[in-house]
Amino acid sequence: MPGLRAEMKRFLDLAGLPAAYTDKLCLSLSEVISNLVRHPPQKATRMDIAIETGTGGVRLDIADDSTPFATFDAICKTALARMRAAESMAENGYGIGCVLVQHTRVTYTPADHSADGRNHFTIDDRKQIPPPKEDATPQKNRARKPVIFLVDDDAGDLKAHHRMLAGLYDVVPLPDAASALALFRVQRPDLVISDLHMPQVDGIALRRQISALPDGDTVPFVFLSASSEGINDRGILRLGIDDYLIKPVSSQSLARTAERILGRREQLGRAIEERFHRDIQKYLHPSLPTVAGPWRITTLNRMAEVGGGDFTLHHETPDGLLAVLADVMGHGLQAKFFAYAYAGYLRSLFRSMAHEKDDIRTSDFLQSLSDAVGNDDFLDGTLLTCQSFHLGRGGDIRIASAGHPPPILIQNGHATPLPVMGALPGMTGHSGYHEYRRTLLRGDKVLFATDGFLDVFHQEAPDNDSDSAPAAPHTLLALLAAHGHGSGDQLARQLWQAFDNNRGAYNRAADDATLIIAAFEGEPV
Amino acid sequence: MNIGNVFEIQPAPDYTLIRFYGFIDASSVLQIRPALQRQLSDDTANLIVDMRDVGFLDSHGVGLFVSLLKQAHEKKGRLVFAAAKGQPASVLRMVGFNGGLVSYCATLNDAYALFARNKAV
Repeated sequence: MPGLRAEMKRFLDLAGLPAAYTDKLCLSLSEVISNLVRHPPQKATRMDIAIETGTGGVRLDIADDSTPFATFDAICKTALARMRAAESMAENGYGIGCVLVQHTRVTYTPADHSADGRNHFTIDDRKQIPPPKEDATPQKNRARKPVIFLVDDDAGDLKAHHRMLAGLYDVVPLPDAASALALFRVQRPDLVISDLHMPQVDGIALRRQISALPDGDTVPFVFLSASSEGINDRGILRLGIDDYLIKPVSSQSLARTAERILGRREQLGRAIEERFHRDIQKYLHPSLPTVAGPWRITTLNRMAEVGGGDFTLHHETPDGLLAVLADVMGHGLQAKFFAYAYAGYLRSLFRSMAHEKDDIRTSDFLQSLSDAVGNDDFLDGTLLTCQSFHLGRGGDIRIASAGHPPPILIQNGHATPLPVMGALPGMTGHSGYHEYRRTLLRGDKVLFATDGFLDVFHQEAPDNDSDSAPAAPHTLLALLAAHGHGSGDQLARQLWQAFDNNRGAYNRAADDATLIIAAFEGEPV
Repeated sequence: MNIGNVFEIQPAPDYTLIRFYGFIDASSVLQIRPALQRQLSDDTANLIVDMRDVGFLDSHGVGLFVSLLKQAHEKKGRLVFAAAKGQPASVLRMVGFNGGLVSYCATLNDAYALFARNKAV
């Protein structure tokens, strides 16, 4: 295994990928292979590893001949639930979870669904990571070409059309519908151009069968036909095709049709995604009151372009402010969606508990959340860390944590992590949440933050020299000690400046980051 | 596999130092676990895990560290990671070994100082 990892690292280094990303892929490769040679009843005896690099990142495909995992989705769910579960003290079961949280798309195609009769474990990060800085190759030339499946039983037409499109697209010529269907199950094209009239399975049947596959109906489809006869039949129009062309087709016409359809598809996809992000970010954007009695609160946040999902909730109590800071784990739009769903659920829970009782214990709130997560398949489908805190008018703070990084107290030029810890919501077997209490003095401050902020201070030294000592958490503690004497707002902005300076290009869009500084400016009671 | 090349244990009055070398992965952990259990005293409470020479850590290594964390907590002690960097440090953070569960020290001397300070207090 070390030899394989070294070979993979060598290859990825040559491709100019960031070292941190290479480390992630090596870990994932190690975890997947360990699983395939240890767990299936019939262990893998042969594996083929294919790596495809592109501007956007890497596609890693591991094909093997072991007994297929019958319930991969369930395995993923369990694995994710254990992933950040050092608190749960599980001594195994982190492997697949490590793979899932590191990558945008992880798929598993069992042998009976794959074209070559082998299982395929595929990681596809293309479009996720930034291109290497040093590479001077023009972006346009290195962009992934859209993939077009060209299906035609006429070998002459197939060759001619292939030649017309080959310079512009990644064209896969296929002699019949059966080949197209088999390949479609393992590789998703951006466009299918198919002859209408073919023996055995014709273009119409091909369109229907592709539409029946997961997400198949979202792939644009163009018919080629020797005559226009029947092309306007209602049955064909209802299939959801994007265009049809009458043979013989000119090079210009074929290329323009492909360009128009692919361009429109990308435009629509981008518009939908941007709107989704905009709407969700507007709803989730963490925000707390700047003043709560004697407390001055500064909340700073950066929403990730992809992934993450931080949000806050707050409620005024008779003697202070009760707040929640939550961080939904994951990457991509799915994480945003779960953050959105979680925020809605927590808001309802928060309101209903506040309605019943003025004095909500922070630990009780987390316990209710944990009970709900443990009993709900939907909420259990992702991971969340959460911190609930109450800022009392007399300077008393009460804090409970569910898998969240500990808050830090800044007092008299010293910064000290507070001993606040607890299991992730939904974990069974833990002994419940404890509420930490402390009374602060005038000028004391407490820092609450999510991993997206704190991780930057865990990163390696800014010069990315992997052999140098890492910037350990004490970097942040030192900053807090050095700048902790000013106002909470000044401190927050200085920390944010350091955060901005430290985070590299890779981290820029990976996760939400939230920082809250609560400064007590009253007199303790 | 010569287990002596994978880890070594140095007991001290206030802690036990475990220094790991190379790759802590599926194959090495199979060897490390039983050897560690044999060599680690039952009354060990405080553990310093020296990560200076660890080049790679996978989920099997994480499981091993969870077992060490359990042992430390059962004896009312603590687990300290010293000089973790690069890929192993990233993995530890990813699986939730946060500051509420364990301590991180940038250097081995910082880890020693941690116990010396506690003793002084």
